[in-house]
Amino acid sequence: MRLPLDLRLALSPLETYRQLIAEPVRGTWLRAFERAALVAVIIGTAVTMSSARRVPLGLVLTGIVCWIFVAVVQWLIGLAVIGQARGRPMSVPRCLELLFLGHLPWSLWTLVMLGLYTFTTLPMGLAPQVISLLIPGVWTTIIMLAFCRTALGCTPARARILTAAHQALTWTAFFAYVFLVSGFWSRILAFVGA
Amino acid sequence: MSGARILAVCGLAAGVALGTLTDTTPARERITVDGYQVLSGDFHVHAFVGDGGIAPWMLQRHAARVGLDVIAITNHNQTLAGRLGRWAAQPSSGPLMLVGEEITGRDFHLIAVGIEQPVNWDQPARDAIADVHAQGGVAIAAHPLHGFAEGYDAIALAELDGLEAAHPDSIASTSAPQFEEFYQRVLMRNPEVAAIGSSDFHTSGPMGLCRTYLLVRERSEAGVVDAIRDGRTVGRCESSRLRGRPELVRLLEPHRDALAPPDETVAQHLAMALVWLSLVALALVGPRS
Repeated sequence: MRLPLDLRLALSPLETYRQLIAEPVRGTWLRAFERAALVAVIIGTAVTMSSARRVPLGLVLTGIVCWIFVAVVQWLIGLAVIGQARGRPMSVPRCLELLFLGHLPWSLWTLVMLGLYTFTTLPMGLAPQVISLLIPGVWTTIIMLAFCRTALGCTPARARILTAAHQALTWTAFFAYVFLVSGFWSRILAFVGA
Repeated sequence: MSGARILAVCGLAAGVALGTLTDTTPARERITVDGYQVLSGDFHVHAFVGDGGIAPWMLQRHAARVGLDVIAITNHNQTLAGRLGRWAAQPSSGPLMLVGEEITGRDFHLIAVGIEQPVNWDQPARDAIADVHAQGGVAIAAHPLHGFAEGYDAIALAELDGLEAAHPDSIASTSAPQFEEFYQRVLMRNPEVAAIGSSDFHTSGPMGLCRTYLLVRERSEAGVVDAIRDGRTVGRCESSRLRGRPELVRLLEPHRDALAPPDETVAQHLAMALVWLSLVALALVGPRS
């Protein structure tokens, strides 16, 4: 049985991206939007279910609308990185579609954490949760490198630079949000003893 | 669309439909003791945009789902979410929505309830408490564990209106002694201090896991704030023992079961399981081949 495309890409990113760019598929904005929309649905529904432990339609839809900014930020970061690859062999929408195709590690991490929160009584300390972020973080870096090498047509050195830029922007956005909403400034001052 | 994809989309739709059909507000008994009406409250609720998962305008309905009569939205160092939640609430029916803030200072976390404007976090705890009182609000020490309670000096401890005696962290055997030790320190200076139960609700619920039972003269914001100020409260986590002044605990003890949070139903669990499985399937198969 053939594995689903998203899973194949996650398990073998370089080879799968090479196959995909060889296909005569014309990228459209609709297809690129579909991929980002799926990410928004997964994140919005997961946060709603984890918070409310209920899934009524109104709550789920509101959750998706509220948390859609996560997908939008990823979209914008993706656009910024794709824009830096001048000699890319494909259109911007096709590149975005292929970029979001590599979202499986983060989607799975979100859903595994949701499953643990919702259906088990395992104690979930902050430290294990933070450490577990390394798994999708490293996995996505590998996928991103393959994306830059193939879909963006970069040299190995340029691919490393763009991957580093993508990850730096993503983590900066993540920490900026945490920083803004959780009174982090005072916690940092407390930590450094200022 | 492949068969697996169709199945996943149908599963998601079915799960949400089931979740919608079973989204009921539990019927609750009105309890009166010693001439006071007993309300259930949660005074430590975070909302979106903030580090909470649910939009403030959806929180009133959610509070009703989990059997609460009053909540305070207390995002870190801001009152915007609280004001949004109150603005969107149905004032005539449903739980009361109070504006609050978790004042996140360098060496203290303090819940302010019944305020309008954000309180400066970059000041000593005693001054933050005075600012809360100046706005007519009440000040509650939040999760008084190491790292969050060092800023309370003797004056601050005496001026506190309440403290979180029942909190999700207070259930853990490792941190329970710290809650108890802080409670005893406050009691020495203020025997009437309100014992508060709060869920510290963010994105991994449930809201109302720990809650406060308030003995109020009237079901209003003023009635709730008065009850906290006068220490007419008892805190509780899930089905654990009631925490608070012994005479109040004795009054509420016969109503333990009636005051307990409503159980989640099998249908609600089934709806969540369907949605979760469908999302996993969708994540694996993607929106198209």
